[in-house]
Amino acid sequence: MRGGIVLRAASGSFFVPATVARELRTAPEITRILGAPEDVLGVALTAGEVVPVVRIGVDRRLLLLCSVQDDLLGVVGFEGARAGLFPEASEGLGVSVDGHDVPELALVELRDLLVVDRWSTRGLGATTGERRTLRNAHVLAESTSDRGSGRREP
Amino acid sequence: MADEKPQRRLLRLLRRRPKAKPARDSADQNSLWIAHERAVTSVREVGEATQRIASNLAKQRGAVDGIADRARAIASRSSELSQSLRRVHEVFERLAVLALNASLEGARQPEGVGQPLLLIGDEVRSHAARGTELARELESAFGDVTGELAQIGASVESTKDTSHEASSESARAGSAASNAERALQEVRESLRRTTGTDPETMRALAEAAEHARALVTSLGTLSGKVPEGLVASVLRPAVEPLLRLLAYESDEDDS
Repeated sequence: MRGGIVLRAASGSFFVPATVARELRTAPEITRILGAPEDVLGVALTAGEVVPVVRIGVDRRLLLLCSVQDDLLGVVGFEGARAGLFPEASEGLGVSVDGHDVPELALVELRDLLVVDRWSTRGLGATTGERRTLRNAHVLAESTSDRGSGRREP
Repeated sequence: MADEKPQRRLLRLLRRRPKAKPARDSADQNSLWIAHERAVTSVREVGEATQRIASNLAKQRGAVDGIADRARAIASRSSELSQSLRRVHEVFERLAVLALNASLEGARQPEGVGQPLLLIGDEVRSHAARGTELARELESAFGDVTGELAQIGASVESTKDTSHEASSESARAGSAASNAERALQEVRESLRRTTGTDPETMRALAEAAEHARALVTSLGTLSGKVPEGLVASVLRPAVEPLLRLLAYESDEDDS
């Protein structure tokens, strides 16, 4: 059995393990980021932290707060959810819900959407060669700015 | 003619063929006065009816205003209840989220330890889902009620407009009835001046003519059955004033 939460979206159902899924919340206000990919909705202040938010569907009522490695990630776009223990899927990763295999949500791929270098150059003043996520973008942006003004990089 | 016996004279006078034109004029005048009286009565009834209509319309407007006020109050209350239901809906949704988080926490615990949390989470989620559904149904029903109330409000406003129009029409009808009554008064004066009669006189004359016709009919019936002397002696006291009047008129005609 695998513990976790099954999210039901228009595009299908996805399983998020309990080790990754931290908490379900009503979706807070999301601030869009210029130049971000379509599936990166922006950032939101939730649970006392600014969290990047990605979507897996169109619904905006609930937000699942996930810990992906060291990063927090908000997922929206699901209409319903079901939490508990589920039998493992007959094939691949995921679980079986009511006799149907539900794949595990590819959270790492969703997190990779947050790599700023892949965005339009209009977003956050991206430069090439450095891997930046939303969480460290402001630090890197600051260091880039320092280099541009001739100050020594720390 | 002076030597003629009074009873003979009476019969002759009574049987005398009346002059066609004056009789016709008299009948026409009488008809005119009757028609005038009928018109006056009808116009008076119309005036009274319009006053009653105006009074009833005023009462109706008061009642409709009361209904409109109540409909507005109900609509306002319905809107408040609708907002409350929306809040209830939100509370159930938050409860459902809480239940899901409890289940998630239960699933995070080692097997066995999290079981109570999973059970509670499932139970609460089930109730929350039912509550959400009911709140949604109630919201929908209240939406319908609010819509119906809006339609009632519109109908009441329309009724008020119609009532207002009816009041205006009633006032116009009342005014027209007053004008008609004044006009009939003028007609009455003109008739009085033109014919030299008035309705009361014409009515009395018509009654007198009616009685006279009845007398002649009765005399016709008695003719040959009762001695004329007896008839004359019985009738004389009653018809002597009439005989004098008819004799005077006859003398006037002869002269």
